[in-house]
Amino acid sequence: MKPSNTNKEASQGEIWQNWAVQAQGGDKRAYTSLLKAIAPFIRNVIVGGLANPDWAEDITQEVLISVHKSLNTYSPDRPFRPWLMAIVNFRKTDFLRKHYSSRGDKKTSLDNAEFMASHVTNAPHAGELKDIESALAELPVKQRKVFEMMKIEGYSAKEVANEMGMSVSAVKVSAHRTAAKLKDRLG
Amino acid sequence: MNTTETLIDDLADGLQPRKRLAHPFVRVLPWMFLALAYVAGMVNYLGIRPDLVAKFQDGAFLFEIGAMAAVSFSAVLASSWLCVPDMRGVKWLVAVPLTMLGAFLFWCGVRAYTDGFAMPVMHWDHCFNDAALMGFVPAAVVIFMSTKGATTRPFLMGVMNALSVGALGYVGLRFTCMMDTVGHAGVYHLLPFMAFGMLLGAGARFVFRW
Repeated sequence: MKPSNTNKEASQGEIWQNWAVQAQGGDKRAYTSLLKAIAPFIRNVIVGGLANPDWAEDITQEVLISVHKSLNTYSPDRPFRPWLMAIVNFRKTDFLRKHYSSRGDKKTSLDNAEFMASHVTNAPHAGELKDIESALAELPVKQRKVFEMMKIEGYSAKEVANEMGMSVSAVKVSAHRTAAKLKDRLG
Repeated sequence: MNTTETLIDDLADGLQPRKRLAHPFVRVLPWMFLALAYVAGMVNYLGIRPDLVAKFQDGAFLFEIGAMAAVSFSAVLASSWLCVPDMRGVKWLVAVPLTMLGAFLFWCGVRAYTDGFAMPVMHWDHCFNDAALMGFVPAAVVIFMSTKGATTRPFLMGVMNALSVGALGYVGLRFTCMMDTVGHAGVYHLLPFMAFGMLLGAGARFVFRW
């Protein structure tokens, strides 16, 4: 007999639940399986409600990082999916709030002489370097240093971790988040 | 390999065994013991009101401190459950302190109608300082406890934190201050905690980010 959708979802939920419990114990293989299984699920859940489908990838990554950070709050006596969905909804709302609240910062009038003088000296490329520098300058010192060492100076995550006194995983997450933030800031 | 797959590999690569967050009820016990002991110590330090024994015969007084104690403990319980993204399925828990607070405010309204509001002349009252003293440690501890979780409702977490601290501080102040009018208790005993709640609510996304 072919399993119904409800049964299929229930068994999928149980599999994720088991992987999550194993991941809490430090099982990297189960954790990879869990993240690989939930990534398309998250993407499918959020993509329908977004004005721009490209955002789905960014939000999915944010959710994965959040799952990583809050893995200790998952309790095996509770189903996995409501826990995941709470994070998905939170990060989606957070992303959209940040996106729409920052839109005003990206607008300027062509009549703005100060902007034209400082940013547009050689259209269409002038000002880009300045924008990147100012976006980097707005980052917290530690986050900027991690990003510069990894992405500009070419150090490995392990070397940066040793230098900064952080874990390799924290360095990778920080660099990833900074890249996403810069992408969002620079458009 | 796209960036999501790279990220998954990075996250899995850095996985360490996690110590599971204790049950919300267990997590809240240290705050309860610490906050109660601290407020009791502060009441003793600031001076117990001389008519306290007589006040224990007053039904209205007992109802008011009982209601606010219940608001405080239910709010800190809700804060503890809010540390888990899905609140373990008990989202209704936040309605408990809010309903009891509503009952308390309704009672204050009834008392203001029957006894008069007796709005005090506004000035810097010692009760403001006492409220700050009473609330400081319970507030610091409940915020610290809340930041250890992963809330998906930071504003609500701020409200529950402020309610737990404010209601407990109110109870403490009723044990030290002899002014029982609705105006004094409502303004001087609650205003500092409302200000704290507004500040925490405004900065909740920053304070409880993760």
